Amino acid sequence: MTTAQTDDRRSPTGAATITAAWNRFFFTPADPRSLGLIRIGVGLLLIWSFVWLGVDLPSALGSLAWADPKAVRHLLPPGAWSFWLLLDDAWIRPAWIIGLIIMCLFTLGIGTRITAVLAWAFAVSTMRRAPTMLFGFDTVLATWAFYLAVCGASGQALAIRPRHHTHAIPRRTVSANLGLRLIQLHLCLIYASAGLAKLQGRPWWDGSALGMLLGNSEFRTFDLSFLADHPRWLELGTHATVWLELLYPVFVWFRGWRMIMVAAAILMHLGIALAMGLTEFSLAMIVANLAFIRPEWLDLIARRLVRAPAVAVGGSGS
Amino acid sequence: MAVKDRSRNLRPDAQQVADWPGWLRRIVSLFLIFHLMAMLAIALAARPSSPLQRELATPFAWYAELTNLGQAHRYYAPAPPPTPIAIAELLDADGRTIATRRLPDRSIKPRLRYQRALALAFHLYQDHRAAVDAGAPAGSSVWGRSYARHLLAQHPQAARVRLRVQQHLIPDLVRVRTQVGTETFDPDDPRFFTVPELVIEYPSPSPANDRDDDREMTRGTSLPPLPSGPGALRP
Repeated sequence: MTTAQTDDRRSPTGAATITAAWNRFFFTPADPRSLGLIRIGVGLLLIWSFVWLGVDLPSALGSLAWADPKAVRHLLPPGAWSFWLLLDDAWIRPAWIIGLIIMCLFTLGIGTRITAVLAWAFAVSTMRRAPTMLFGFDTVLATWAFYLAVCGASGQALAIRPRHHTHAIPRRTVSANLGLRLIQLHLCLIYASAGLAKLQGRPWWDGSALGMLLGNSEFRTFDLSFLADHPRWLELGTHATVWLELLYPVFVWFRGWRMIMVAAAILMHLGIALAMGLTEFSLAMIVANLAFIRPEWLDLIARRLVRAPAVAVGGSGS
Repeated sequence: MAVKDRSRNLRPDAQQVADWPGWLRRIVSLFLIFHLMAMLAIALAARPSSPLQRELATPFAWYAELTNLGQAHRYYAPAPPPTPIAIAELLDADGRTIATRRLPDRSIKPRLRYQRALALAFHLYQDHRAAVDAGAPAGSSVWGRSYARHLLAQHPQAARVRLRVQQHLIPDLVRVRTQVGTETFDPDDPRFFTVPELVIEYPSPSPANDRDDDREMTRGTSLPPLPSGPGALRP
């Protein structure tokens, strides 16, 4: 055997290496329990949002809503859609009830290959119909719902099943891995976009941004103006936010840094929820961070929190 | 990208990849490549961006709209912005104010509904400013007209609605530092609000200024494309 042949065997071509890495990244079977947990989180937030939408249903989706249906229809860009625009006022409440039932089934993990798609369709339709009522919470929630719908794996774990279909540990699947990978990548894209965009603004450089946010009385839930006496902490918080958003998309892929990054992101979102009242947005981001948490860690937490094992809740193994 | 696995001797865990047949992996890989390219291109195309970035995103625009994944996620950038406030005065036939509504109304519970009210004011302000910047005549805001109709439907006793917007400025840290701990500091002090700007008076008090409502409603004089607007400034 020549030296060249030996080198060739040890060093596959660059394309083969990339292909193998691509396959390992996207097509290695993964434990679906993290995805199941994300489904429950997304489902509960969808239900919460939809319930309160029901309180304001005519104002949000009716013919005399804040956003006039004629204007909305005209302003929809090519490719955008909303089935609410096809419904008369008389059908809005029944459709809302159907949507709520679908979201409950989705959260429970029942028929998720269909209910996940329908829950996402309800979320997107509502955003498109009431564009002046939506904010970041709606967009990130619809994003996670999309990935849960397209991967078709969100019901493979932590779902209500007949007793004889349950398994203690669900089978690892490629579709679960695809769902988790897509959520992970999009989460990194969000943090990177937010972090890079902040570099354009002086307050994020001179450390005043957090003080500005805390001084915004339209947003704040608690009066934290006493922190103005401790400007160094506010500056530290400002810089830490930018650094976290910039570093997260890189360091979260290193095993040794993963938990630190996820824990820091969760802390940041809890801070946003407490200081600015953006609770739902923060929860939606925390739920997405679960995509980076290994089910074994969740097992450990669950064993400590819940002593009694759940009898009828488990993986389908399919 | 070819996804044929020709390097099984690289890593033992690569064997697990064989769970899906090669043809299926190829099809899914093509979708993944397209999807990831679309997401990256759309995120980079949000303004400020170069013409090149915007042109690269154009082929993916239909996909972003179809999937509703066209957001930029540039939260609180480049700086935390002031908060837009909308004030609606409901007037009777004699022009007397019979009710006033503020968006957001701080008594709204729970917080999610309050955030939605903040979003209503935010989008109205954006639309109004876009109309003003474009040199459109007063009352051109599409959402202004739409909100006015909604408010009149909610208050049948009102004959007219006057809609204004203003910004609640963020007190600077120096002011807070010098006044915190005393009773003089109030972030809701009128000094921290900009002068209200009239968005629309509807129906117009002057019949000559009345227009064909349906035509005006669908003209779309000032709004940016829907998906790029909402998440750009605030979560």
